[in-house]
Formats: sequence, C-alpha cells, structure tokens
Amino acid sequence: MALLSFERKYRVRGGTLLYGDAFDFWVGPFYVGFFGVTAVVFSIIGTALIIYGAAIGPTWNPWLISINPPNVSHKLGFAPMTEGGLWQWTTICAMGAFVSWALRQVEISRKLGMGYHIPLAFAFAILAFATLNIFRPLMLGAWGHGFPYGIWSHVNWVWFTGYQYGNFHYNPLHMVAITFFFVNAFALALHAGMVLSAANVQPGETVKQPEHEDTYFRDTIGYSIGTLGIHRLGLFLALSAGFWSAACIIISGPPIWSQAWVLWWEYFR
Amino acid sequence: MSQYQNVFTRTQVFGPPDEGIPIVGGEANRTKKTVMSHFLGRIGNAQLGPIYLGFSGLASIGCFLVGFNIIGLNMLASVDWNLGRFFTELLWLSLDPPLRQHGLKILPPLNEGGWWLIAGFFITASILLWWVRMYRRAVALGLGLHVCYAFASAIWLFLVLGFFRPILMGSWSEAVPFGVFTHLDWTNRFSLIYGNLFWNPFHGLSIAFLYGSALLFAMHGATILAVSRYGGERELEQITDRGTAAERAGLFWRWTMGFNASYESIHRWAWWFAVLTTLTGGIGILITGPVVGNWTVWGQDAGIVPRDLSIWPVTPNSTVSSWGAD
Amino acid sequence: MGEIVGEVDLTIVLLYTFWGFFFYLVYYLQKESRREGYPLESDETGRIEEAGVIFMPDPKTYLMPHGHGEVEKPDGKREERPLNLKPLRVWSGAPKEPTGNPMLDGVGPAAYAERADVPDLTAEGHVKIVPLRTAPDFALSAKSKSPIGYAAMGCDGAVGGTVTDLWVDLSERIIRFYEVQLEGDPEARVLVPMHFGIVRRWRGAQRRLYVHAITGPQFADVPRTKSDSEITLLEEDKIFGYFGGGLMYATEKRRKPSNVLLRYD
Repeated sequence: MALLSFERKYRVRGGTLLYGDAFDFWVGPFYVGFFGVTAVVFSIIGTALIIYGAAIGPTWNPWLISINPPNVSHKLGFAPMTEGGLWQWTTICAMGAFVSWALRQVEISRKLGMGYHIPLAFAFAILAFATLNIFRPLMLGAWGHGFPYGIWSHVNWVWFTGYQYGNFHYNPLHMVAITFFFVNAFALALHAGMVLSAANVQPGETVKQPEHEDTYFRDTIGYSIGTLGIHRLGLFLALSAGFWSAACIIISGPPIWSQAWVLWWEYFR
Repeated sequence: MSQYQNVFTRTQVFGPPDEGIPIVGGEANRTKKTVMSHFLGRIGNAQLGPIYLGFSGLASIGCFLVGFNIIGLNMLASVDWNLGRFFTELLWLSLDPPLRQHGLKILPPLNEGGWWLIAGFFITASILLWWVRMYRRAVALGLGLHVCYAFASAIWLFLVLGFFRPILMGSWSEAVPFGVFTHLDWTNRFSLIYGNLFWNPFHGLSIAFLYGSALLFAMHGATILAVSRYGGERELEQITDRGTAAERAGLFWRWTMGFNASYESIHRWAWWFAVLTTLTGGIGILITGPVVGNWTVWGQDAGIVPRDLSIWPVTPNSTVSSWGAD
Repeated sequence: MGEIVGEVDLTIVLLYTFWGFFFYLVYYLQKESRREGYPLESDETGRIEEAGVIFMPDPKTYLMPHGHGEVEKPDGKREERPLNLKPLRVWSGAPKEPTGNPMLDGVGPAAYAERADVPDLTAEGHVKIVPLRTAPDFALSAKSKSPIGYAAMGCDGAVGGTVTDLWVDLSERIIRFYEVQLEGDPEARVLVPMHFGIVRRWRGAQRRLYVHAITGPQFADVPRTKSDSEITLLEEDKIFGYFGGGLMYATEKRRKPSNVLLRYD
C-alpha cells in the first residue's frame, strides 16, 4: 500500500474513541477505525436492501429505481418489507452510516491533532436528512411522509410536496435557505478565484501575498474579510444553508403551517 | 477545560491603516479613509476601506442607481404615488417586462414594458461595467483573472434570463419581472408552463452544483479552521511552501474518503463548482422553450420519468396530519 | 439535412457534451491535486512508485517574491528525516509507535514539515511576524484585554510561565503567538501558537492563559527560535507540531489507547 511523500510520519497509533487498538489501522489510503467498520456494515446492508428493492420492483432503469416509504396508513409502525419496510430499514442504515462517518471523522481529527469543525459541519447535513425522513414524519404521524430513495423519484416527491403548499417559493424560510445557498456559491467563487489568481499571476509577475488579496477586495468592494475570516464566513454560510433548508421543511405541515405559503404573507399586507 | 476552536478572534491588534499595494497610475483614485471595526475584527479583518473609485466603478454605480430608481418609481406609480402603500405592499409590487404583442420591439410604450427595457438596460450596463472593474483591478495588481471569469459565469445566467432567451423566443415578455414576489411567480409559472422544470437535466445539474458548492465550502471552511492552529489559513504561503497544516488537511480527507486535494487544487474544485452552478443553470433556462416545450414529455422520452407514474409512490398529503386519524 | 437535425435531440447532445467535459474536468482536477505528495511510496519498503504519466501534472513554476527564486510543483522532494517510529505489526497499514519522545521527534500529531528556514516576509519585504515590542505602530484594540502578565498554565493546572508579549502578523494584523517567559528562568522565552491558547478565569478570579495541549513543565521543551524577534517558517512549523503532539502525548492518560478492547503490545 502506498503513502504520500509526507504521510509516513503521521501514521501513528492512537486517537480512537472506542476499543483501543482494535480497528486502528489503514486499508490503502482509508483509515478504518471502529466506526469505519460500522459505516461499511451499514452501507453494505443499505445498498443490499436497495438492490433487493430494485429486484422486486418494476424496473432496472437506474434513473427510475425507487425505494418507497410505506403508505401513511402504517402510521409510525413498521411496515412489511415489500410495502415500505425496505425504506424503513434503508433509513436506519443510512442514519447508522452517516453517524458512523461523522464519528470516524472525529477519530481522524484526533489522530491528526485537528479541531472538530469537520464532523460538526457534517452533523448539519445529517440533521437535514433526519429532519426530512425522521423528525418531519414523526411530526406528521406517519413514516409515509418521508421522501423515496430514487435518483429522480425523490425529485418527484419534492415537486408534489411543494405544491401542497401552493407556490413553495413563498415559504419565508425557504427564501432564507435559498439566499444562503446563492450567497455561499457567490462567496465560494470569490474566495476560490482570489486564491487562484494570487497563486497564478499575470505573466512575469511574482506570486502574490495576503496584502494583495486584501487590496483587491478593498479596491473593488471596500472591505476584505481576510484569510481566516473567509473560512469562518464560508463555513457559516454553508451550514446556514443546510440549517434553514431543514427549518423550511419542518415548518411545512401541521401543526405549524398547512396552507398555501402565499397566504402567510397576507399578515404583513 | 475545553480547547479554543477558533470561531471568533479573541484578542485583536490594530495597526496603522493598510493603504494597499501601490498601483501604477491609479493611486489617486483610492480613497484615504479607513475605519476600524471591533465587531468585524471578531470575524475577520477589522479594517473597512479604502476603496478604489475609477471610471468603470462609478459608472456602474450610476447606471445601477438609474435602473433602481426607474424600478422604484414605477412601483410607486403603480400605487398612485402613495408612500404608505408603497412600503406596505413593496413585496408585491413589480415592474413587468413588455406585453407579448410588442415582441422584440426596442422601445414599446413606456407603461407597457418600455420602462422595464430601460431599467433592464441600465442594470445590465451596471453589471457589465462592474465586471470591467473586477477585471481592471485584478490586472492592476498583477493578479490572475479567476475572479472576473467566475463573475462572467453569473452574468451568463443573468443575460440568458433577461436577454438571450427572450430573443430566441421572439418576445421581451418572456423575461423576468423586477419585483420580489413577481419574480417568484415567474419562476413558478415557468416551471409549470414547460411541464415541470425538475425534469430538465441542466436544472438538475445546476442544483447539484449549488448544493455541491455548499458542501465544498463547508468541507473547505471547516478543514481550514480545524488546522488553523497550525497556521492553516495562510493558504498562499502553504501553496508554494507546504507546512504541516496543509499536510494534515490533505491527510484528513485521504484517510476519510481515499483521496484529497492540495491547498491549491481545492480552490480549483471550488471555483469550478461555483462557476458550473450558473453555467449549467443558464443552459437549462436557454433551452426551455426554444428547444424543449415540455420537460415531462422529454423526460419520458429520455427514460428518466416513468411513462407509468404509478411505479413511483403517490406523495401523501402532508397538510393533513396522520396523528389522531384512524 | 433538416431531417437529420430534426431527428437529433439537442438537449441530449448538450447533455452528453457536458458529461464529457465534466469527466475531463474531474480528471484534470485530480491531476492538479497531485502536485503535493506524489509520487507515492510503498508503506513497507519505502520504494518510490512509478509516477505514471497519465495522472501526474506537468511541473509548474511559481516565481517567488523578494528574490526567493523559483518554486516548482511537483518538486519531487522526499523527506530525509529519520523517524523514531516502529511498526506495531508487520502488515502493511498497521499504525506505528513512537520510540523516543514523540513531541520532540516530530511524529504523529507532533509532525512538522521541512519548510524554509527563513522568516515569512510582508509584501514590502519586512519580517512579517514580530513581537509587539518591536512594532511600535501596533497595539491591542481598545476593547481587547491584554493577556500580558497572565500566568500560562498547562492542562495539568501547573503554571509553566508568564505571558510577556504577543507576536503580531504585520501583513494580516492578527496575533500569531503568545510569548511566554518560563517559570524560574527569566532569560528563557518560548512561543505558544495563538490558537493553542485561550484566556480563561482560573478558580473564579485570576485570568490565565490556558494551554490545553501541554502540561506546565512541558513549556520548557517548546522548540526555541534562533532570534528573539524573528521566527522562521520552519521554526513556526516545529512549534505547531510540538503543541499538536501534546494533544496525544502530553500525559500518560492521553498516550493510553481508549477504552481498551485490544492492545497491540
């Protein structure tokens, strides 16, 4: 197995959260760890369930395969495997794999002496998934309100769920989330463009320095947030986009809001 | 006791104002005044200003103000110049594009879309002039052109929506209105008229890159903050002289997912994801109408939408709770 | 001609063109990512692997400022430093155990990179990171409380020294290091990276600089700088590594594997 030119000195023992040295090793470039094992187990079972669902389903077209949640008549109970049980167990496996992955990131952070910002950020993504397929179904009283697992069938779910609330763009928190997504992409382009343009300069120029970066944004927009600040801002924007996305769907449905979102604004008129 | 996770700057240091890298011939256009803000300093740099005032920037701001005022005055006129109503109904007010019967006429009657064209002209001029500013400031400092090329990708989407696609469709009425709720209505109607925009593969790609941009900035921002105790935010220095911060940042992802970017190449990933968001989005909008009239039909032909929708679940009505039902 | 065009779905053409472009883009980005750390070396033998032509980028030259010459990436450099590590198992992929004092040996989280042994410079060419005492134009903001004079305390609660100054980055106007004068040795001063320290109230009243990474006595072993008013990039990295290593090696408890199910030794 192969190492990067600078990798050898970092490959030491320790940093695990559980079970000492038991899974403290690498396979190729991958660190394993106890949570690597659980992540793989959950992923294999979840993938197998999806393949099984496709096999008993009507199509092998990968675009159309869909693992569907149970009918709402099953409420919050377990459904038979072929009537949504597959979806329920896939959801459990997905959560298991996601949480394992986050804890594995914690172990790797500890091994490298890094802060825990990455697993924390990933937790926001897990939260958004759990909001859609666990918290909101719990709020509505049936697992059938989760979205189906399919490349295009989940898009179909978004379409039909959105139109149950009229024009979903009028959902105020949907507006907030979209704004964060747009601003995030905008800030990412500015940051990435700035670093690339300072390292890959005009012909004959020397590589630029932080002062040049500051000068460029001060010249153009009057403020440069700086090298540390842009990463704080970027993380904030990205996490906000995920958080408010989760918020905008959890407020869509009883007991919080069950009418067209356009009516919500009448209060302000 | 817990460690410092570097979320806010705890102790700030102020010095003489950073007046910026000297530029040949343009120095006089730079303002002199700077302000130090303790609040900003908790997140990033405390210093506000100076700013460069050049022809393209000032012209851009001028054009923007003209366009902005035309929109505002039209909105005000639509509520009979009643300021009270203007503010209470602002979200609903709109300056709409020309009526359908005017086609691509350069200047239809002002109240039937003429003002929209004039406002659109000035806003577009403002954006293009701002691009010139981003370009010229980069060249003046000897920087590469990555920022203004990325900006051009956003301008592409803007021009598709308000200029290229209306021309292909033969009518300015196809363009987006200037208004808060009316542009949302336009988006909604656009999707419905063309048989569900969700089946437009370029719309899907655009969303994937938009989400991907959030993913990348979360990964990148978090990685850099996690190695900032090793000086990891000094990216330019680490690109040409790799330190332990860059090594750890790379190894974290190599060990997590099997491969990693470098301190320079992560910004190439990021740049392309952000740029492709608007690039693919623009393609998706441009072909909706001129090339494809109904995305559901297209999706069925392409095999991404089942002809028999019953193989997908019926989305249950979530406006009715299942609690208490029997 | 018109009939042929009529048969072709322009959207599909555009879509497959895009996918073609995108796969090339990913290939290009993966290639760009290999400017650092490649070619790979074997875990067991240390033999450098064939780089391969397809996945290695062509070398690129950066012209450095301040007459520091040119830098080429990939640079093909390998690390020569002997590592005080022994593998815990013979098989490939097994972790290694430090054989000496890992915090000083620069292994594991204590690792540092062989950076240039010259101070980082500002755009004007001055030394970038200097003590506040030598930068009279710079001062703490009015709303920032100065930590100078606080006791510097390790994770064991023992005081290792006293904060005597702050080292400031003149380019980015940010504090980079606390300067700590060692307990009982007025001449010896060490640097604590800004983000490894935090000012906390200790036992209700006294404010102290709390350094979680190391113990009080370990302040004495922090790698020193050659100059008392300059720091080179290599010295910075060695100091970072020392504190990073403390997170895993500073105390007996941290060295022990977690919640033991299995131990190699």
